[in-house]
Amino acid sequence: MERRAARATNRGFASIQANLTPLIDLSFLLVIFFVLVIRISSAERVPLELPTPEEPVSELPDDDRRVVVSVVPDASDPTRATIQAGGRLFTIDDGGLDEFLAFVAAARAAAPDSFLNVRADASLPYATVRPVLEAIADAGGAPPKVQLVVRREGGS
Amino acid sequence: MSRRRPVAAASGGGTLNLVPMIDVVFQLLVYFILGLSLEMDEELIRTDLPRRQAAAGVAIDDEPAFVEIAAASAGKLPMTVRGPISFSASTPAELRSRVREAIAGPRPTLAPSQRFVLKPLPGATWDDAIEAFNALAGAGATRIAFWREATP
Repeated sequence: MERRAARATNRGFASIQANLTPLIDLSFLLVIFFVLVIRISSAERVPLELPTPEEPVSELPDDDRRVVVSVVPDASDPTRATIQAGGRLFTIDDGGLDEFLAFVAAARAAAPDSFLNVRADASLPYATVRPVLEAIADAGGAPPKVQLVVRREGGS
Repeated sequence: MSRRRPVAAASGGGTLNLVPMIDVVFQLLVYFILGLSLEMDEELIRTDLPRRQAAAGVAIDDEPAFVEIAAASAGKLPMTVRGPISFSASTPAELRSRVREAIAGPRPTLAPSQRFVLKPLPGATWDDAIEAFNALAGAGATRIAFWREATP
C-alpha cells in the first residue's frame, strides 16, 4: 500500500478525462435527425393562419402516410389562393385544377392508403377552398381519406 | 522571452479543444428541438367528401339535414338547419347543443347516422365552415359532408 501511494505521489496530479467521443457522436446524430425532420416538416407546413375551432374534436396526427395540400392566400388579393402540394404550386383555375387533380390521382395511385391533409387559411372564403375539395373528391380511385387541419386551441 | 509550451505540444501530440464544438452542437440541438415543438400544434378532423353524382331521389329515411352557414359577424355565426329538423343557431355552441339534444337527448329525433350537409353561403369563410363542422362532430354526428351541386 505504501508503495502504491508513493507511486501516485510521484506521478503528480491525477488527471481524469471523460471520453467525449460517444457524446459527440450522439449529438451529431440528433442534429442530423432534427435537420432532416425540420426540412420535411417545413416543406409540408407552409405558414398559414389555420382555423382554431372552439372545443375541437380534432385528433393528433399519427404516422399514417399523407399528402399535405395547403391552400395559401395570395399576398395581393386575400380572396384568391394558390394550392401548394408535393413541392409544386397549382393555380385555382381550370388549368391549375386539372393539373392538381392529376397530381392527387397520381399520389393516390402510388399510395392508396394515404391520407390527404387539407390545410387552408382560416380567412379564405369557402368559395375559394371549395374547388380544391371537389378536385380531391373527383381524383378517382377509392373514396379519398381527407383530413382537415386545424390549430389546437392555445397553440402558437 | 522563454514561454513554456504545454507539455502535450512539446511532446508532439496536440490536443484538440472540443469544448466550443460541443457548445455549438448543443446550441443547434436546442434550436431544432424548440423549432420542431413550435410546429407541433396542428391537429386533424376527419371528413368525407361527396363525389359529384347525377341528381337522384333521396330516400325519406336518409334525408340529409342541410346546414346553411352565413358569414360570421360581430362574434355570431348565423346557421340555419333544414331537413328532418329545422332551427336557427347563432353560435357553434348553440348548434352543437341543439344537435346533441336531437341525437342523444332524452327524446332523440335524429339517429346518430343522420347525414348533415354543410352549405356555406357566399361570404362564409373556411373558418366558419370548420366551426360548423366541428360543432356537428362534437354533437355526435358521424356523417358530415360539404355540399356540392349534383350534375343535371
